[in-house]
Amino acid sequence: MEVIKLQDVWEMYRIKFVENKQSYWENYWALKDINLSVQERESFGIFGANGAGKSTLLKVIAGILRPDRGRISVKGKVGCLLEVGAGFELEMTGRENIFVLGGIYGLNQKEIEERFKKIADFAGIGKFINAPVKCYSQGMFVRLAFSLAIHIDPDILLIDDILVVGDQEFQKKCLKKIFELKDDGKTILVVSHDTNIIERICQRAIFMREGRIIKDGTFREVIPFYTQMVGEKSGVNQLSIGNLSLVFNNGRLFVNHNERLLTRASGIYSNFSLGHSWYNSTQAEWSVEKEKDNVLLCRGRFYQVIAEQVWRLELVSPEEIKLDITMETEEEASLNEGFINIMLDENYRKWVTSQEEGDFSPIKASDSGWNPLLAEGVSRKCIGVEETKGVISLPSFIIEEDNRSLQVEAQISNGDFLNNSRILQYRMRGFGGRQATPGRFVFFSGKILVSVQQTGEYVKSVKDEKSLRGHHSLLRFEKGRCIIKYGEKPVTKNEHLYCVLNTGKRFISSSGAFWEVVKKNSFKIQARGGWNNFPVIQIWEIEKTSSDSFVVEVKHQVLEKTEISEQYMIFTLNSLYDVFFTECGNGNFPAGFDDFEKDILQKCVPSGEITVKNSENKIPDFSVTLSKRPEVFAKIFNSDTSLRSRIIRIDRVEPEDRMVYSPGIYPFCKVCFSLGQKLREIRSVGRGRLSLGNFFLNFENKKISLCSKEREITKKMGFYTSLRFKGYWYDSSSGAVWEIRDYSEKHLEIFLKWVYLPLAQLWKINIDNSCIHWNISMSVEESIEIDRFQANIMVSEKYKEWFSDSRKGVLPSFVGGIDDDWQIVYSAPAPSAKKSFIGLAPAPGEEPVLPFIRLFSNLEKGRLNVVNSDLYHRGRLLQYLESEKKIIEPGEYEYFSGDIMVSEKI
Amino acid sequence: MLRIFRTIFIQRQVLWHMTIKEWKAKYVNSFLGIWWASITPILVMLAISFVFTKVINIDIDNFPVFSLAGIIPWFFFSTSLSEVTVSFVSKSNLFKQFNFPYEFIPVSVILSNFLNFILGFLFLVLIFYFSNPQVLYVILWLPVIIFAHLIFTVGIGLLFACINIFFRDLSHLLGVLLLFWFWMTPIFYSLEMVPASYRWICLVNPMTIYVELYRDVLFRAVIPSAAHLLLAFSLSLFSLFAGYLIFNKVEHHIVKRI
Repeated sequence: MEVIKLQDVWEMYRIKFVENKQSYWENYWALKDINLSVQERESFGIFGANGAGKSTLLKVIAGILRPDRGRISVKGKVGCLLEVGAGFELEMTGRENIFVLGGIYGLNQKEIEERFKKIADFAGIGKFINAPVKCYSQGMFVRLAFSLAIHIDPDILLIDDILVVGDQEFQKKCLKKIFELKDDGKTILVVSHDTNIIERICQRAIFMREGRIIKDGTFREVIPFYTQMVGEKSGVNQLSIGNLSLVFNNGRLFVNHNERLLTRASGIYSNFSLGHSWYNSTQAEWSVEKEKDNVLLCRGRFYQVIAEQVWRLELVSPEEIKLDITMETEEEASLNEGFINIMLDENYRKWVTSQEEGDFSPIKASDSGWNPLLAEGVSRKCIGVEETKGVISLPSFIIEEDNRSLQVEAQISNGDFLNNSRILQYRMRGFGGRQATPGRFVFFSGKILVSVQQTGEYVKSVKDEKSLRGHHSLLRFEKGRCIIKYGEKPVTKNEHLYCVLNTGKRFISSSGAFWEVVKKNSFKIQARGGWNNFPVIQIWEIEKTSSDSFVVEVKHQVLEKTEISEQYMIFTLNSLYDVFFTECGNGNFPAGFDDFEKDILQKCVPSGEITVKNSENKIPDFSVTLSKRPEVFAKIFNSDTSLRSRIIRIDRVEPEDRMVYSPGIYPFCKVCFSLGQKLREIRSVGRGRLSLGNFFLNFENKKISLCSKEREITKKMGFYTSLRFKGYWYDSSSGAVWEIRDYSEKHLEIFLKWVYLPLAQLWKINIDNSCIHWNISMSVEESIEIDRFQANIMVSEKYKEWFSDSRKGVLPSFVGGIDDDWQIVYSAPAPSAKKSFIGLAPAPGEEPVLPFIRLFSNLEKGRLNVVNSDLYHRGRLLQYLESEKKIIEPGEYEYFSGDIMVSEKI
Repeated sequence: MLRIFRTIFIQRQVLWHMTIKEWKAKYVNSFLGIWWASITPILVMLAISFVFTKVINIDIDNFPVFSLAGIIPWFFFSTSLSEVTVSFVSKSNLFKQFNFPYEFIPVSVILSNFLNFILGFLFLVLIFYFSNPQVLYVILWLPVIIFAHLIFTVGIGLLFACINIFFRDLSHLLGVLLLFWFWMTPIFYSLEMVPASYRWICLVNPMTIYVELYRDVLFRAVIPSAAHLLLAFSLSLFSLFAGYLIFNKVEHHIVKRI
């Protein structure tokens, strides 16, 4: 039965306009030629911008306004909610108002009395029912008015957009009640800007503009008109290619496919928390321009704060939308976090991420709030949804971030009863350090893919941009940790490789910071992380140097003066490792783990290589080389039972007066680590002996030592070279990877590749009677400035005298700490002829007898020095030194050439 | 013309509730409440009696009762008129929510004042009885007069309310207009006291006839003359007719113009 019928209805307002003290009257047609027929039990939504005539239409139907032209017939009792607080007598109480207004609605006193309790209960305003309504809040007015309107048994219920005044709880209650009334066969007309509410209630809708009905049809047919036409015109624009069309409307993005709207409610929008408040992209003032045919550039200025958001939308193909959101803020307050939210049709039933997949459960009336489906804190590069049943044939919908944004976490949620949608979210954090660096930065960057076939396969195949891949190994930087794998075998576990700082008050971990990760190229990742309430940005530079070797350098950018008393870099290694090798000694990891205590196995490894391996080769070898810095050293632990892992910890402990850092950038630690079979091969060949009469040269594990039958004559590093670059020394024993190229009884060739410097050396050692010919050539890969070149032989402190071709003297005792310059005892320019030399003589009567050692240089440059090391090394050095600052261009160079004479007598 | 009575009859319940709402709203939060309906005329009577018996001597026996008989109907008329004139504007609130005949707004305002007037009268009528017990014999004529007066007031009220929608100046003018009207009506003087040459001013004033009728019954305790009654009813019907005619013309614009 037709309950409402409007035929050619026109409605005019005569309005007085006042302009420049001149007034004139004008006729304004609020409704033009409205033809509408509503059947009994039909529910009906009215959309339109402000001023489109929606409320006028409701008033005409309600009988409050009489049409100027045309005919209208309404059958049945009309209950209406048109304006907040309308009809109430302000001075009277809620109760009195109910009685009086109920009477005006046509109920008799008895009927009202019967219903009074129901009305008051539904309104739920407690004892305010007995207070004058002038004391009511807007929400209370709406509650009471709605409650009254539905309890007078209306046949037709008219609701203007006033329910939004109520809180979530009440809106939900109203929605439920409206559903009940619908089931009871009432006719319902709703005006709302909340497309969700209309969709829930109404099968049918009309879209009005300038007093006319533009579109009359099902909700699905009408909604695109609404999303495209309502809102500030300068903030609306659209793009389309093929089946896919986009509408950007003042901070909301709607996606249509085959003229079907895939998004719900506000569509795609962003929000963020700045200082203590949250802001929403729909609050900004937008201007949209079409940069190209398929590119929209939308700028939104927020008026409450000095912030601007720019959305760049590019429709790449009928399947792909590129979405870049950048932001700029000049606010003092820091940007805490941001979201990009995508509200999707509830007919999507299945969700998938790069790691897992599942089905959405139906949304129930009892659901309040969004119900997240993924575990928190895991970054997922790509998430998507698809419709499994294929009833409505919704295309799959995928969003993929492209690593340009800050630390990103994905979330998939089931919406609540009111918004009734599936929600995809990306949450951006790690703006922590933004406070110090205002300016434009990436808020979110990624792409949206619509109607990708085989959604699951696609999402899972998305390439991971936070990883570096070696031949067999994989390094992945995630949330302040490096996860290292060799093939399928996890080299690290638990916390993997991470850093810990002691701020003087507490320990903070890199895994607790917020990270911004940039992959510079396929060899290099740079990550910047910041903590809340701690003015330091930690910078990780991770580089793949050779097939399965990586260099990790960690620096700290201190933003304001702060204390850092301890710094640790920690490798948490697989428990399969059972043996370790260090310069200070080798050892075994115990098979079991102690319940409580960490088991310290090696207390202080100052530099050089630390290798761990499994004696049965169940897992590839892992070796770490740390830069030689006096304040940096490593410890090896066995963890407790909770972690069950082998731990290498690199500590940097500053003297107390240097614990407070001023703003600036400070290096913390640079390590190189390699993994794989190859290391073991080197080591197996990397041991041997060259005979030298009564003496012999031993080489093993990055060290060449000179030994007699009874004892070692050299000490610590033995034969080594060292270069100084930017004030730091890089020596062959700890800074380079050794490769034995050739080895025979009288000949040894070693190739040394420096880990941190772009250079390599080739040592050729030949034995000729009691003379060792040491020939070093150097190849440089890229230009580098070096100011010191050395070739050294460090020998035992048992040598007490030195001599040269012309002079001799006694060696002093050792002085100086670990970081002091070593004491040059004697220095002479390198000779042109093969006459001059420096040498060391043992103390007379020393048993067993030490040989005399002489060093000759074949070069016509540099100097020969006798040097005393520091107290820690306690060694005497025969040194060739070239101290000239120069930039070395790529190429091959002669580094050193000399002879070492070892003899029992002079 | 009859439509107004028909709609009122059909939707009498709605009108009744609107009247009650008006009436309750009037005294909500006031301490003396309904008693004001009686107190105000008495206070006015006392003030006028003081001026015209002690300051200026007017030679009328029992002047307070004489003036009260005029003050009561005048009060009903003037408060109704001042309220009803702005009623469409001040009650616009109701239009926005409910669908009812627009004429109910002025009618309900007048009816609520009428209710007030009747309740006040019930008490004040005792004063007339005590001052002149003869009143009892003619008191039955009073409802007839009141009815005529009510119809007249509705007519004038409807007219003024409609005019006020288009000429809001009326509400400002009304105060002065009522003051004039008050002085031109023989309330604190008798018609005989007016010089014959100026008496026409009072006679063209329709309120004169109603005040005289009230006074016939309440003060002089005589049966009002048939001619006077006829005249009064003619005036009532004429004003109702005029008011309704205007209302019919503007009805359509009311909601849009307020």
